[in-house]
Amino acid sequence: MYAWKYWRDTRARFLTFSVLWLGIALLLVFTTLSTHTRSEHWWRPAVPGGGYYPVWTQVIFGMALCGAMMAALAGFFLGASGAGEEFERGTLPFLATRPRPRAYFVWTGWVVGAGELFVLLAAGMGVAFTVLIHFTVAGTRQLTLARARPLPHQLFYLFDWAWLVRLFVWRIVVLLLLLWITGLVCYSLAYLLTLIARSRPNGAAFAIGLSIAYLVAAYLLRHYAGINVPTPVNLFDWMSDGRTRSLYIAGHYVVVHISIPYPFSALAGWLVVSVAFVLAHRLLFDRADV
Amino acid sequence: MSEPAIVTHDLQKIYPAARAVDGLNLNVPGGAVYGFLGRNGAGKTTTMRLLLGLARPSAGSGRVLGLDIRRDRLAILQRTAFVGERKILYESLTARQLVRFTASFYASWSHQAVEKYARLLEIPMTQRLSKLSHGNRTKVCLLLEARLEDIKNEFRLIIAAGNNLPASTSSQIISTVPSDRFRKYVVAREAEAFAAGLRQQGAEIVEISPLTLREIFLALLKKEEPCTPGNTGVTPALVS
Repeated sequence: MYAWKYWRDTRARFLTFSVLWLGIALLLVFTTLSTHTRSEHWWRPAVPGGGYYPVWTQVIFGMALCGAMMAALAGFFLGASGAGEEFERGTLPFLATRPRPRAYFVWTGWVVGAGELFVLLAAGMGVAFTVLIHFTVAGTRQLTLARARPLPHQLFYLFDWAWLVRLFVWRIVVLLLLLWITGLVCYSLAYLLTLIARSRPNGAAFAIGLSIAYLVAAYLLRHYAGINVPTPVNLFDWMSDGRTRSLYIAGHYVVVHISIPYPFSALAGWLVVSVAFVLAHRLLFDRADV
Repeated sequence: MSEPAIVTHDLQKIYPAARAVDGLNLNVPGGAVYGFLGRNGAGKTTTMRLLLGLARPSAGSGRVLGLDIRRDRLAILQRTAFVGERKILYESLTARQLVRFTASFYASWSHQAVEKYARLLEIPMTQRLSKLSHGNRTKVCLLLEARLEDIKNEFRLIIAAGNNLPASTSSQIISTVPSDRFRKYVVAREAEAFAAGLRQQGAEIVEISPLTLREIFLALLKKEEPCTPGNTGVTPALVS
């Protein structure tokens, strides 16, 4: 039942960020589509030396950029809850006099929030990519954006959409995981700092401030001292590292990434960092006077 | 009197700015109604928080219903009820939702008793807690502890802090309690209103003789005027 109550407490923030992210993701898709001519879609002939990407790759890039910021923001605000929020509104004595270990409240709240974050990101991405499939894959469908009139090359080539999805699905799944972990780090940090501050707005503000300070410090260290400090931003390095190759498929040239160095170890590392924040939260809460 | 309900030995709680509880030795006999009195800041609330595991003692030891307050927090909470001084509840829930939420934490829960008292106390169960009056919120808090009513042959403890119930509500509550089988212990701050004389003695924490619950409530019902310097509301029978 505590999971239910936690959901009730955070659902307004969850819905707000869900709508926001969905809007941004759709805007990204439509903007990308509208700035490409038909020939620049997925199977445009490869240009020697490259220089621009097919629509799908471009949307994935854009989604990584916007998604990382949205995941972080949603994480900060969703994380400003739990025991810290209960402290602030004075309901903690009621909760703490129920016969449950305090760890139960800590982990239940965290799991519900982490789930909300995942659903939020997955829903936005899911809808956005579904729309993208609708417009780019099926050869019989027409792009009907405001600027799009029937162009000479409006017709898509018939293409096996399943093949396209298969090619990108792993990349999209990895991107979703990375966005989630990015958000989770921010969420767990805000969860911890809200308890320490015993205030929701302060917890979120401290988490945002600390994160920005950390990113700036990491940049300065790398830039001036050559010391590499890991940040969640590094999770997205693979997007520019992947080597590309032009493949001749179904009578057309296709630019694809090959040998993508997915950052699974870094992903696991940041997951551990998130859990460490929760463990610290639990330790502090266990010892806190209510 | 059987097993002591509460025993503390040199219980201490020291905050950086203050010594909230300083070497408290308390022995509350089983089956008693107990008034736990003291001036503002004497450490009554802190003591209750220590007994319920809401705060960690700096030194000393304590047992509630034979259970150690440091080690057996959950077992103590399972067998006790606590109505806090401020009674801050989840404003967005209705009374019924709060009952359902609270019930989920307990191995045994008397839904029948809760329903019975909800009807007797005329609590608007479908209204949000934010819309309830102070008196009704207190009733909801007490209602949540009615779960203990059907547990037989168990030591039970009710700790009620500063309920400030109006006389009519107190009357309603006492009418639901069969005094002959009532085996709950009350550490009630309301009785403080009757103990201005004791406070004048400069006592940090004063214990009064065990009374029956009915006696305390009857005394409360007699108190009609608010406690003011001119009208301390002292009832000699209670403090003698």
